[in-house]
Amino acid sequence: MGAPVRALQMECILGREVGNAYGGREHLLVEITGTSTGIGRRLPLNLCLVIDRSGSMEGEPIDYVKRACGYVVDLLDQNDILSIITFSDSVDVVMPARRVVNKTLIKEHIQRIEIGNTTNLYDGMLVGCQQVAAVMSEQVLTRVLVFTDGEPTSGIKDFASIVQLAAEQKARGITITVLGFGPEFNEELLAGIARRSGGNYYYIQRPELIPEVFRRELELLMTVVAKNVRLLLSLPRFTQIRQVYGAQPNLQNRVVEIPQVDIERGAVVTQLVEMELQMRPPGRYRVAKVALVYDDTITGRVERIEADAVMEFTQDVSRIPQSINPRVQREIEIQQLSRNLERTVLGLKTQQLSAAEVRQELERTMAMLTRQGRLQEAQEVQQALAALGSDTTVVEKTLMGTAYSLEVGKSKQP
Amino acid sequence: MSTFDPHEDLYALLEVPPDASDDLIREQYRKLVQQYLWDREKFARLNRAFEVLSNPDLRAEYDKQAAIARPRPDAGALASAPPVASPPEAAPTVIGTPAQDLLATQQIADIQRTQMGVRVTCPVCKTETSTIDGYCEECGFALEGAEAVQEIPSLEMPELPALVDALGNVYTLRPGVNTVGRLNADVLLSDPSVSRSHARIIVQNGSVTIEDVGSTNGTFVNGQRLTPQVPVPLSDGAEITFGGTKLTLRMPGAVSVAPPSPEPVLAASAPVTQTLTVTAEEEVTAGAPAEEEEEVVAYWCSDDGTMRVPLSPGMYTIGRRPSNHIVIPDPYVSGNHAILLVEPDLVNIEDVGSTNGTFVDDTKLIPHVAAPLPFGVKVQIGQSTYHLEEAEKPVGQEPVPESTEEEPGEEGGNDAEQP
Repeated sequence: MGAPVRALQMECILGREVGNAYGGREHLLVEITGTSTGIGRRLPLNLCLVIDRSGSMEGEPIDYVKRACGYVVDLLDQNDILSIITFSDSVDVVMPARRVVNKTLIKEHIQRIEIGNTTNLYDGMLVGCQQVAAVMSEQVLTRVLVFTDGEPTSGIKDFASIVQLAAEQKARGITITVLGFGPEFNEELLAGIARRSGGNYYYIQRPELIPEVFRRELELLMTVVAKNVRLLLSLPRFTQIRQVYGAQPNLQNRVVEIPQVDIERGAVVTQLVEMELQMRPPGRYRVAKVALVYDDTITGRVERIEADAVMEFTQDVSRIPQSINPRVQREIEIQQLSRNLERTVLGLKTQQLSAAEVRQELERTMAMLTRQGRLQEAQEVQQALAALGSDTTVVEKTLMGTAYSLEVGKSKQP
Repeated sequence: MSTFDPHEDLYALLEVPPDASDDLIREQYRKLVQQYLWDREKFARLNRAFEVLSNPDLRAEYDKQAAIARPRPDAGALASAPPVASPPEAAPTVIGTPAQDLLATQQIADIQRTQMGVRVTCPVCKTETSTIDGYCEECGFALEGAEAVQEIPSLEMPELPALVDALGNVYTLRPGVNTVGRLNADVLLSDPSVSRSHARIIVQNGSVTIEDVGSTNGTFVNGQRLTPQVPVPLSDGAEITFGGTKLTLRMPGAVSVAPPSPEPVLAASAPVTQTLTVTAEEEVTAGAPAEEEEEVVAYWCSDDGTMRVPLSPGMYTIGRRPSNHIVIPDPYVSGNHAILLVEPDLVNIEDVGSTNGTFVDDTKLIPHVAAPLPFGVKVQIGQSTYHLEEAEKPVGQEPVPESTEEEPGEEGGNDAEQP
């Protein structure tokens, strides 16, 4: 089929291809790959920078943030829409959503950002989302970058409401990326926001790294080839979903919708699902009909890719392979690592785990990540190990990001 | 009269399959329009799509044009297939020998079957289904190649071996490998002293073997601790202890009489038939060795009686995710919802930032603040209510000192990495 180039490809892999007719469980791995070929035209951005200007940002941090914002302005062009919001006790719109035309003027406005007192994260986020929502359209990539260095201290502060806001915005098609700076911010809250909205999580340890991290996020945004990505599993009578790893599925009668993150050129996103397979007469069955639906930035349309996950069921137990597909096995291990990491962070916080136990756990995790080829995550764990003993906040904040990125299952194409 | 772009997939826009019924399209349209009220452009597109698809004439016209504009492997074949009239017209010309005739008819039938999605009755689930993509729409059975098979013999419900716990819960063991553990296991035991991956039970040709896979607290069969990674055969009525949970094996067809056993422990305990009447506490004190012993302080019970989890001193997590100690598979329950902090004489409950909150006696808990939970008080989590039931203390038993009450299976690193 001389198909035109599409932004995504999908592959479905089952843990085993032969299953027990008496019933059992099986993992299904869906691997979504962003094309690495194709044209270089990028999607215009509808971007909002939501900046914390609370008292603690005084001095070097705010200077670097201003520099980072200027950087972002430089990277954008006339097709992009930018808005800039700052928050402390109240929320200021430094720049309402506009096309990036007069870069000098925008930078002048950025330089006028002044330090306030408290941190009103909720309202800042809300106004930021309103800015991008006002000018939203198809074929434009919408993203809100929230930069903060502390716990929310004014306005709505509780975890549930803030995370709920992120989930609501996600339903409207707005993704929030969080950038946590310094030792004070609440990594659980920020990771919660990123998780609910499918955005990225960054931990910025030192002020001089702020511009670099902004650049990294922008670079990712500029290579997005598919947005609004959803995986739809249609399940026949004998199949049920037992668990969906790292995502909030939307369960309907026999269709499970699993939202996915935006996918960049050359990126691989994996989704692991565990199915409960009931007893059935032996034979070949489609255990799930998998459909990937997304906004394709190359064809400019909503595309749909379908695949069938087919298994044979037998009563002859000796025909069922003992070991499962190595790629599926690998993914299961990675998901377990992510859960273990979160547990380790919790253990460290509640001091249920001693430093020696944490160290042992992390060393093992690092070895496994290296073996799995997840070098970036392995490096993060190594950084956490180096900080263990001297600065536990660094450990917690780094590992929270590692656990989240393992959970999302995004990696670069080999 | 509305126009449409045949290149645009209106079905995908409304998120319905191409063969969706009018009702489904209307329902889906209503839903999406609500969702995209704020998005003027999308809203307009949805309206246009609905206008086309809700009008039978327009929809047919769109299907036709779309099939040409965007040929698809499956749906395209259906819509662009020429009316089946043409092959039959050609048929008379090839009539020669009866064999050829038969062949021609066969071909027509093939065309009909593959292109028109003839409806057949699925041999497995007896549902009338379209053969359009080769699988039964209802049960997923592969229809191609199975045509010769008129009747698939239905699988007889075999008598399978099962494990029964003190409360009468039955864990059926399937032929093949069954895993036992606290996480992702076939026999899922929500007991913190059970390792995440604890043991494997292999059922083959009617015989049952068990193998410990390196659990922290060990697996005991009739009081004997198993050597890790060494399979041991099991017989009917065998008592198996995983951490602090004791289960009895019930083989199919076996008469529920205790098999003669040389084990003194077994002889001392109640006859090994169904252990329904024996409470969990007595079980543990009778069978488990002293090092395993954990005092049950209370029981976490659901008001509908489907859940009863013994609590020993330590921390228990509650949530929807299977990684929790107490798993509540309710969509209104957060992945990590709350924790119970169990002390020998007091149980505290703490909401860990759940979305829908935890209510004690109809009062919403403040997240991340532990509150004492008295016995019998109603706790609402998600859609169900729970309460704490006091465990009757066996007479003469001293409360165990705190130092021995460490939760063995709880530590993150101890048992995670079993092969």
